[in-house]
Amino acid sequence: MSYLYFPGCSLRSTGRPYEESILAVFKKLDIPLKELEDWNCCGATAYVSIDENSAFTLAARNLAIAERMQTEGKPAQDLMAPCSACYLVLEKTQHYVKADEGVRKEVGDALHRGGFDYKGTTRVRHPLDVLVNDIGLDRIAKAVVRPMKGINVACYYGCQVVRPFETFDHAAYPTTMDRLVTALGAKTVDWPLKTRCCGGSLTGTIQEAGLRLNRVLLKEATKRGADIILTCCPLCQHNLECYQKRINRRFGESLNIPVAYFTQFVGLALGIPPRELGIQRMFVPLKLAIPPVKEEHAHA
Amino acid sequence: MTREGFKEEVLNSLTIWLCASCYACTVQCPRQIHITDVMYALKREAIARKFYPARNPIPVLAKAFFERVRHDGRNTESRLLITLYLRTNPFKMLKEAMLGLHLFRTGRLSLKKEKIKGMKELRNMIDSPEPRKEAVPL
Repeated sequence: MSYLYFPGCSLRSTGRPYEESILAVFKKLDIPLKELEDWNCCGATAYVSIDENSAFTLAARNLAIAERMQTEGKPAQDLMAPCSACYLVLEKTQHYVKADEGVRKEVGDALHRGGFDYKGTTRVRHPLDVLVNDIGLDRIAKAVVRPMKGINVACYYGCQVVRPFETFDHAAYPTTMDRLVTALGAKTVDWPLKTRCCGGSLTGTIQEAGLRLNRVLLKEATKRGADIILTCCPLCQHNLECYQKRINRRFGESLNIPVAYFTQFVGLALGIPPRELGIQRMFVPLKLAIPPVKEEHAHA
Repeated sequence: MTREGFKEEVLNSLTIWLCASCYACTVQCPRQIHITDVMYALKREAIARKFYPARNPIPVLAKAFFERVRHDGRNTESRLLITLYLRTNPFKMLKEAMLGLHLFRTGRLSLKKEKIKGMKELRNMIDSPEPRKEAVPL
């Protein structure tokens, strides 16, 4: 079992701790990841707001590279995309190339102009799906050296990892991350906002709207008794963590809850040193929810 | 509404810009209307016809993003944000400076430009020789 890995632009910037923790966790579990050669931006939600056809082509170049990187005679390697926006854009493109003859022809012609011949065989996966459904909870639970006992987690999935396709979980009430976190020994809080929109880039554009959406999410998670919120998307993480102070000022709240990547949480449970998981890069210290153990200090 | 002759009202509304593509409406629509895709189509139409207030940051962001990716094949978040503020409201950059600084300090923001090697081949692919067509007709 091995995977091709599509980092996407965010994981090289604001989402750096996400990349660090993914690489560390997969290494610990002995699952090889190979970065997609010369990958390009997926297009996110902005590119398609300008031009739809070339947006599909832009994403499809990555799918074509993934197909080209397969070795004949060996099992196909799925393309793993950790950012929800990348994941959905790549998946949606794959979906349209398969289902819509017009898009297939358009994208096929465009790829030809770049020297690609895409047969349409690439399968796009999210690391949450890979960890739980391929590697499996048993194997992960066996590798736990530090059970996350006594920690209450609000699992926040955001939107695009499950919508609109519901590829590996329910569109409004997914449970994959909850099951993973439970396997690590932690408790999850039940809350209805698991997939409620964080506003995406609205915090950078129409900020008032963005702050309001995140305020609701943070307040509800806190009210339900969560010590920490776990996310699987760099934009959700950035919004929920980095704007807490501003939300407090704007709305007179006193929110102070750590927001981490689910892979950082898995990494801590597997005994990976915090520094290798990018824990020191977080705005709201994780130690508010997860007390550091002595051994970790020795590594740090 | 667009089909009933209210196209300008629709294209001028803020609603289409507030859509953050969470697809909640798409999965709940009992008639399986791809509402998010319709929103994208309306955004494209509004941008093509310049039907938005000059300082609405969302179309400005979309355009800046498009240009950056067309130029480098990747997006460099820091540079995209600087372009956005310069084109909309430079004073906002001051307001965001503390957040930016914090991100720099924690190694979560870099000015280093991300660029792909296969830029020429990518340009050949995305610069279509044919005029733009809409997959979702309005």
